[in-house]
Amino acid sequence: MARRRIGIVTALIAMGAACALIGGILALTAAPSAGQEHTYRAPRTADGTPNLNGVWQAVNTANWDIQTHDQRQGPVLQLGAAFSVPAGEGVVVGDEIPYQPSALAKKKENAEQWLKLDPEVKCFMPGIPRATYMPYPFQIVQTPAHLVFAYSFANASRIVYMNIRVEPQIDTWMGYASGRWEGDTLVIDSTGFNDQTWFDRAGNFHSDALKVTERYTAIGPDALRYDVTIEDPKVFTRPWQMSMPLYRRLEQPPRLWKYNCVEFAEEVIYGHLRKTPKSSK
Amino acid sequence: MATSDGGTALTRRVERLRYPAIVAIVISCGSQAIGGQTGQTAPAVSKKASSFTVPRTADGQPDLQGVWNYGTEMPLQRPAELAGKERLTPSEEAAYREQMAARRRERQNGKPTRYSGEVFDDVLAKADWTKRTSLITDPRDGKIPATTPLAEKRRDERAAAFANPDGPEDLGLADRCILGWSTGPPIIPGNQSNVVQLFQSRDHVVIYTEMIHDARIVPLNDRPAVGTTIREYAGVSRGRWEKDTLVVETTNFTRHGIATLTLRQTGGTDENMHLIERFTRIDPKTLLYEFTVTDPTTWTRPWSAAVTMLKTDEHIYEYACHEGNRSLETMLENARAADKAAAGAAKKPPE
Repeated sequence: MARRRIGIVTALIAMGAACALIGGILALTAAPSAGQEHTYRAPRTADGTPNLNGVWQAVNTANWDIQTHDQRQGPVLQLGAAFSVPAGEGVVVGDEIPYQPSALAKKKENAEQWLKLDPEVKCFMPGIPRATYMPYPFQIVQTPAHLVFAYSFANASRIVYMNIRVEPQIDTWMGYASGRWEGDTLVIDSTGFNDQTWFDRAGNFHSDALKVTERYTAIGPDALRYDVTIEDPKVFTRPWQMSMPLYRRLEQPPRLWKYNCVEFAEEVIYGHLRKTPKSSK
Repeated sequence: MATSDGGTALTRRVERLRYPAIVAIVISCGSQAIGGQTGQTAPAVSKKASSFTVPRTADGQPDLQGVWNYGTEMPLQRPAELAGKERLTPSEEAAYREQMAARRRERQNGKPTRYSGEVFDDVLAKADWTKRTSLITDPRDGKIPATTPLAEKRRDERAAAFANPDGPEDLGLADRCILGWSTGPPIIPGNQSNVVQLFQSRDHVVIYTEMIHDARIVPLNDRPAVGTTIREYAGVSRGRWEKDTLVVETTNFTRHGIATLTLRQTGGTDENMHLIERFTRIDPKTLLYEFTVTDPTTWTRPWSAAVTMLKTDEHIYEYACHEGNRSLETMLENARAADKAAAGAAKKPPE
């Protein structure tokens, strides 16, 4: 990569003085390209690692559907435009999820029975990577040995163990996370998931064989590039990727308000066991 | 995940994680060994005057990081039989430990039990025993102060609702897997999962308790208090350093109180509760945790307690609870069955 970049630079120099003026104008006006993103050098923590501390949030419609989707009517007619689904570009690289045939049938069934089956509706811990791009913020607290990821939704959280391999003992909702720095990129490998969490409200799902590899790279003072590789041989025919930016919440001081949603899911889960139905109260 | 104590302890902890409902039942039935009369002495936890220098983080702050086990056999309130006795002699301690072990054996004698005495012993025997006879250091009798009439009314209402719950909100926060059990805040040792991990960045400390997967993020800069509109179950915390001590101030609790069962017995807490917690490393393996609760609509005066936490190589595990809360379902099913039975009995003609 470095060698190729040097080659490009050399070629540009060779094109020389004749293009200097035009080149200068282009350099001043060009939007940052993907290549330039990675030249950003994040500020360092006291131990010298890229400082990812902060409250972050995705601003996209991936929680509705990680693939490109048109707008559609929401599930509760009375909520009208307030809770219908806006169109959005997919965050899946290539926009295709390589489901095995039987798994694709299950995905469709999940989508049809979304309200009944989606663990989000019940306020269950959302799993990884969904926790990252739900429409709620999360906070990273970074130490040399660990990073704590605390998510607003469902008060979920996880501990990332840096530079040690943590082996799953039992299945969990948020996984067992081992982290490392690859240059300026935080790489997190997670396994030990159960098969209960989903990727979105469109029924995209995984099994307990899920392996998630996340890459967090600062592309500016207030933005991260979030790249995820999903591997699950029980559900997909090959690994696949998602990619999206994450944005820093700039409110001062930044504060992660917890969305303690259990109380809002109780009627859905336990309503039939109520003495006095809520509607009659 | 690697643990220092190998497979058996881990297997037991895994067992607990898989069956939160069972945990709920056991906790609901346990931890009742508190009561008694007034004592006189004035226990104070002495911070060891030693040459121990608290290590620093890369940011130059006192380094309190690690996993800390706060399990202890020491009750929150001084037991009746130890009234007036602030500390135990070594022989008294040995006798008292034996007495407690015998009680545990008796409790489970011949009965099926999910938690063996072995589990409790395993967890609690690790705990430091500083010879004090109550975690409460103030008032001097080692007892939670008298509750206000308002709190008594609230307690009775909560107890009545709990006895025949209409819906989930009539049950405790811990029963509903919202907040609990020993997590508080304040942290008060319970029967199990007595572990907390502390993380520090330059601007934040995270108090990460296993129950119920709560990551309490404490900002360290001297930020203003938030308004009273937003309230959180675990309150809103702010922190500062006083020499080597982390001082955390927490307000903005909810009217639901906190989940610690011992406090439920005394009427729970109110939304106006004001909590000060102090974390101080007193030697390489020991963290002193002190707290003062001020809640004028619940108690007639503030009270304070101190817990010694021991460093452990164990990891914090994910404590999923709401995700499989069969216990709450069963409690409500039982309540509806009781309603049905009562209605049936009422219909019967008098004999």
